[in-house]
Amino acid sequence: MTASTLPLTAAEITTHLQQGDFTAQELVTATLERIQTHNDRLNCFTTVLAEEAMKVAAETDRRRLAGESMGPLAGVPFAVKNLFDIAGTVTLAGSKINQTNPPATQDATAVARLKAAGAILVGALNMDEYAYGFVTVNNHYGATPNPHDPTRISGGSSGGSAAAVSAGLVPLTLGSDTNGSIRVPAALCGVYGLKPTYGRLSRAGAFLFSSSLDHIGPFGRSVEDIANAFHVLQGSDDRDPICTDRPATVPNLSGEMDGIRVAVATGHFSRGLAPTVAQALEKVTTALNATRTVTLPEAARARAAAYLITASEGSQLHLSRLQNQLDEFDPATCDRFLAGALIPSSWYIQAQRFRRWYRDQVRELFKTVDLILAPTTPCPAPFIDQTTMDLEGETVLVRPHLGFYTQPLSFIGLPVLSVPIHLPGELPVGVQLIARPYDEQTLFTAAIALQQAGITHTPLPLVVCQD
Amino acid sequence: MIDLEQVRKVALLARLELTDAEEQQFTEQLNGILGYVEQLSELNTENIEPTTRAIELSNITRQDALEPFEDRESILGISPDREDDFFKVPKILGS
Repeated sequence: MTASTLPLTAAEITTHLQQGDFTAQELVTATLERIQTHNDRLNCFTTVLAEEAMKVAAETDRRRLAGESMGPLAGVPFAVKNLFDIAGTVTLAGSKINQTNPPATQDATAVARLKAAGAILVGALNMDEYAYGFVTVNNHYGATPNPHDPTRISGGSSGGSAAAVSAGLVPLTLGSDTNGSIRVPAALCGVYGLKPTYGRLSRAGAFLFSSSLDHIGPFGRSVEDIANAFHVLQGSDDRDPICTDRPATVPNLSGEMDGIRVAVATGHFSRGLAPTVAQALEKVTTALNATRTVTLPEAARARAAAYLITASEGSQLHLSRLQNQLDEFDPATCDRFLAGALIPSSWYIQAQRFRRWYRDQVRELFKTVDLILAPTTPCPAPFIDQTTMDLEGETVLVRPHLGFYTQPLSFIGLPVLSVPIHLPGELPVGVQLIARPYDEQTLFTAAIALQQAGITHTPLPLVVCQD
Repeated sequence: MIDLEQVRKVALLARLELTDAEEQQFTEQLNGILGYVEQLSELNTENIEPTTRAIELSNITRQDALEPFEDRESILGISPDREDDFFKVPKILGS
């Protein structure tokens, strides 16, 4: 086992470990070497927990030799966006301000659940400051370049989480999504990224951004890995009052699409697609035999309302920091937080009023359809120093518009899986699979069908292969 | 339209220290955001109650409802001081 034999998916790792092909200690050693080799250039990790990971790996090997029971993710290395609490580590949330906070006293629930399933935490990952961004160009910790083309962005705000999986540094990571922060980087880095139903997975111990919109979820290189992570992350949690007490479901990965009514989103979601994105969507549409279309009414207004709610809630959360430590904010987030702090409450309430209307309208749509397809981003990854992009012939700012297709969906908490499409000679892009609330199963069914048909895949970036 | 004075007033209420340039910048930004609000106002949502979450959740808080408590004596019994059926508190008015 050497660093160059990686990457493996989480499922492959558990199989190899069970077969005794290598030990968890050999695997973690190789993983740490791989991180050390690539992180200078890829800047995914802000913290590497080498010593702790090796200790857990030794214990994993001991348990296996002793014939003790092993969790479903036993020995799988994973890492988390640095807004998740890791006991003994300061939770940065991408900020300089948080550096002076005391270390977290307990793991975030999601971290604890992955550990309880046997996975081995190896570190924390870069992000936009306080999760306010779609680019992961962080003034304090640097940019996380796209492993498929390091002159371009990874997307954000969970850019480190997507890039680390894309480059094969770890098979599994966690991120958070308020307006698209899991789906956008998953698409631009060419990996799977799941934003489950709002409240489906516990957010306890994750540094929130906009509570009424925040979700957490996994990134992976295969549908099996995403489904297995989702499976162990489920469950009610007293530490997160919005976490559902619905019983955990066991994902079915048969890929049997019979009876699933698939439609392509039109209107807002058919505007402004770059040719690569349009081709990717067409490929998925054909593979899933989606012959009908649906229009989410007023999706553009949903974006406007999502912006107002995000800016208002985020600014209120950070108000004391804005009052007292303004000069320590990342200039890229500071302005938007300040503007948000000045938004009158009547505007916020109007956005929440619209949200209920829009949610009821979309709920009606799901009476006639089970799965909706939409692009994840308007274009492949922009350049790191690029500030504007073309959308429907108009020049618009990159940062807010990467969420053009993701914001109207998280706004009402729908479960969405961004699946990776690599067209020959092109940068990866993503397609969103969208289901009704709590129906993650339909996402897994469609995604496994696409994976089995070879429509979605996660080839290793050339830049990593060449090292 | 939002003007500079309104931004100054809100910034003061929020205890945000803005420079002259920032006040000007945020006046422009807020007018941009006002564009979003106007988009929303074009829809008739007058009779719709605002929500607070992406998905309606019913298990966050208990109902805030009055309910008689049967065991009167147990509550009086845990008070630091009592007199008959009353809680006794230090005198705070007069000398």
